[in-house]
Amino acid sequence: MTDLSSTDGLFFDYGSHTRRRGVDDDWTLRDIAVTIPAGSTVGVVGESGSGKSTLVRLMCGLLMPSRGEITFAGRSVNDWLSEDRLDFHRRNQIVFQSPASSLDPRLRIRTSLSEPTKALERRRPDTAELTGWLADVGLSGDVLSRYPHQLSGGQLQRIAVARALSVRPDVLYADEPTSALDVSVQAQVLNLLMGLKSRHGLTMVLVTHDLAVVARVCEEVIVLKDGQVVEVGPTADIMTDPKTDYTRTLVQASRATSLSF
Amino acid sequence: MSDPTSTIPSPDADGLELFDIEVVSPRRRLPPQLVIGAVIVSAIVAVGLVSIFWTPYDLEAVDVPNQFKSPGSDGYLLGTDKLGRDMTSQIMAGARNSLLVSMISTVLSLIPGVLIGMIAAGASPFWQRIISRLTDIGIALPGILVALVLATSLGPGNPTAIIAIMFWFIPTVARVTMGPSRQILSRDFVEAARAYGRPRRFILFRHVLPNIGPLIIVQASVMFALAILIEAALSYLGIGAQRPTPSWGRLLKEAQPLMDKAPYLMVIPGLSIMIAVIGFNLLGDGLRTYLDPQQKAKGAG
Amino acid sequence: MLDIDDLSISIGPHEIVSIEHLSIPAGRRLGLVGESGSGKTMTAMSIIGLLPREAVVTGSITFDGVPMVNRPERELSKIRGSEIGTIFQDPLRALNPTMRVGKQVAEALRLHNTVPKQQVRSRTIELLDQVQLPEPEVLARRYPHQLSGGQRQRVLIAMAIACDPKLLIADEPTTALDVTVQKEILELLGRLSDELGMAVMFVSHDLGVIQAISDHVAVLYGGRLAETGPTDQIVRSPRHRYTEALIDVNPGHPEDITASLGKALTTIKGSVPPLGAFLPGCRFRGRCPHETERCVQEPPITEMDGGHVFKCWNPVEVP
Repeated sequence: MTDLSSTDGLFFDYGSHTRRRGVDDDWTLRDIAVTIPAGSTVGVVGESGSGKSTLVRLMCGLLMPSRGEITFAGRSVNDWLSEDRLDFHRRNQIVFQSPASSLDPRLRIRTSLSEPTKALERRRPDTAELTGWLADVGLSGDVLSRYPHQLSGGQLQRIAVARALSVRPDVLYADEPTSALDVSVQAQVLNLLMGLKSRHGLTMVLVTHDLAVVARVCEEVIVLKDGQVVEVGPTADIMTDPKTDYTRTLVQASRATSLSF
Repeated sequence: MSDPTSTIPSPDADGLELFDIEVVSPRRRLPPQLVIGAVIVSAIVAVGLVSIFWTPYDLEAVDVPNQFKSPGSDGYLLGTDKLGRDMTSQIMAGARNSLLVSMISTVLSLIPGVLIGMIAAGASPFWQRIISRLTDIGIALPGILVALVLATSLGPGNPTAIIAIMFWFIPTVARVTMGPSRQILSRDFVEAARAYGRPRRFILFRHVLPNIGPLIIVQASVMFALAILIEAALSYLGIGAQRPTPSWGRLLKEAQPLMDKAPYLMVIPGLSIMIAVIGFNLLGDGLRTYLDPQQKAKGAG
Repeated sequence: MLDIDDLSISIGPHEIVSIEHLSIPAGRRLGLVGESGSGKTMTAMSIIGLLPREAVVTGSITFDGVPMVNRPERELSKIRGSEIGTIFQDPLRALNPTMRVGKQVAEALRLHNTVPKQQVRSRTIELLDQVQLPEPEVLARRYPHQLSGGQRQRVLIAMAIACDPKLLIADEPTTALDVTVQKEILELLGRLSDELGMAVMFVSHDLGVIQAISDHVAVLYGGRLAETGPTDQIVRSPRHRYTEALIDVNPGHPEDITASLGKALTTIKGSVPPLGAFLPGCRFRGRCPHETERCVQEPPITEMDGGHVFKCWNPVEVP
């Protein structure tokens, strides 16, 4: 497998004056070097404040690194953004955790769902196309005329997924896509994501705090702690034989609060 | 702390806050303030509009024999002043001037104020701080003093009043717009829009403006009430409308020396100002209640 | 100690909660599990009278021999905080941001006159120590925003146990916390409950968390009690079809990955209907894969050994 996306010596901080800061100072992300193989599903795990959401926002171009390099398809993201900004965005899409906040409450679903196509392909998708995208995520065309507050969290999250996939991206980043959902809805959305991934040949990067979800969905895991990579490897290895104390603590805590039969 | 995005929400976070039950909300009723406010405001607007085409008497028609007629006598509904000019006509025309000045100054304050607020909300923390300080200074400036300075350089009149009110309002509008805009900009749909390549400027007009719209409407009606009051105050001080421009504040000023002889000359414009201000305030308050998102049907969690 | 009988809570035309019987013996821990719209929070809040004003409550809730339903607010507020402690999901909202946390704990002590004035300070430190906050003297002088989420929840627990309550109502207290902190808080609550002989009603959407803290569980769906009994027994062999489904949709154990990676999860078809759109009879109708013709009628209550009770026409067979 070739690497689709990777970072090298990546530093990031939300504050200003990052230029003057030393390597050992306080950073949100520090010296991150990870790779995302094409076609894989990679989980990014860590506690709150570990920088996992920040990392995916950097990789899909929503934030700019303070230092270091992010590469996508063999080309620096900086170059992408200055030369082929729209194409980069088309190929890197993201889904967020709060379904209620993912869609503009003032716009009908039809409008929200058409936005990426209008922005990136400069054309207006027709109803057949929109209905097709909705069918792909298991929704009927009826929702097109609705407003977000008329739909359930699970439905909204499906629409957010449909919107991200409407421009046929190469990578789908998903930032805690199921943690705001009920456990029964979580199962539906996870199945949907796995199905879409294999149908569309997507690469998926899934940020989550739930190791049970990672174990079910991801082939590889990146463990972050306080802005640094603690451990990277195939899910099976990390879950059964963690190399670091931190990962072991995470796995044990997760085990203590999951169902035991 | 440094990573604002990675808190773990609850499954119920998007439903009702405390109770995880979706209650089918009853149909929204119009708040009574809104109805009363709307009635008062439309009455005043109607009177002002009518006065453009028709008033019972000519505004400046001097009729000394009929001076100081008390309200209700001889066909003079609201009486006459010291030169026998009809008060009803003057009050009607005063409504027109009041509304005109308030509307122009409110609209002219809203446009730059909202723009400054939205742009500031989307700017870097550095620029946000600078614009916040500038608006603080603007809000702290005593509006009456600004108006007096303007009057000495521009001379009194409606344009002076309008410019003074704008100085008064623009910083407030910018300040009021900034917070909610920032809140909207932090929502996920804005990040999603950036992820599909929408530029910031587009996001401000496409997503931020419509979402803060209700707030601006409420703010506008409250500002309108305040503008009526300020216009009257400026005219009373002699900075605003000058004869022959009709104005409630100016009537008030002219009635002052005659307070003992004809108190109604003061009471009537005073009451007009009060009713108009109450009307717009009620309208604003009613709109606030009506447009409050908490009142809207909640989505299923 | 806490007995709920024929409890019904309605708002407008809709009956939101209807529970035949539920009880917590002194010192025991009961988990209330359900998804959004299950009425779990409503049920818990009805015990201490914290419901929206338009809610109508009928039936009986007896706490320590005293009826709680439709009690005057003044008496209820006396019981809240002294005999029943409460902790919520969001500790930041329950704490006063302008007051040092030590003072807030002291305030809780003073409000119910549990200890003599001279001892309030020492008891405050003792409480903070009891909830395993490091350096309680230093921490007592901090403001809520200077603490981490887990520390805030501990302060809230300290306030809740300040007056030695007989019952602690915990409404999703660990949902917003990281998994490691969640585990610590659960252990703390379990220990405190054992040491103080304090009963706990633990409300959560997560059956795994309930299993970690409580020996008994009540599964709610659509405002009705689907199944209740010993947690381990119910997790191992659920009888109600909803409980079975709720267990099946879990992504599973983090260590089972060799077996489950990439496999589709079991799902429940459809979604929880909005209030007033439930079909008559069993609440799970329409989504249940094992529906029979009898399910249009209210299912009967079946009692088994060990207090395991369920309401299902076509229950899971016992092996």
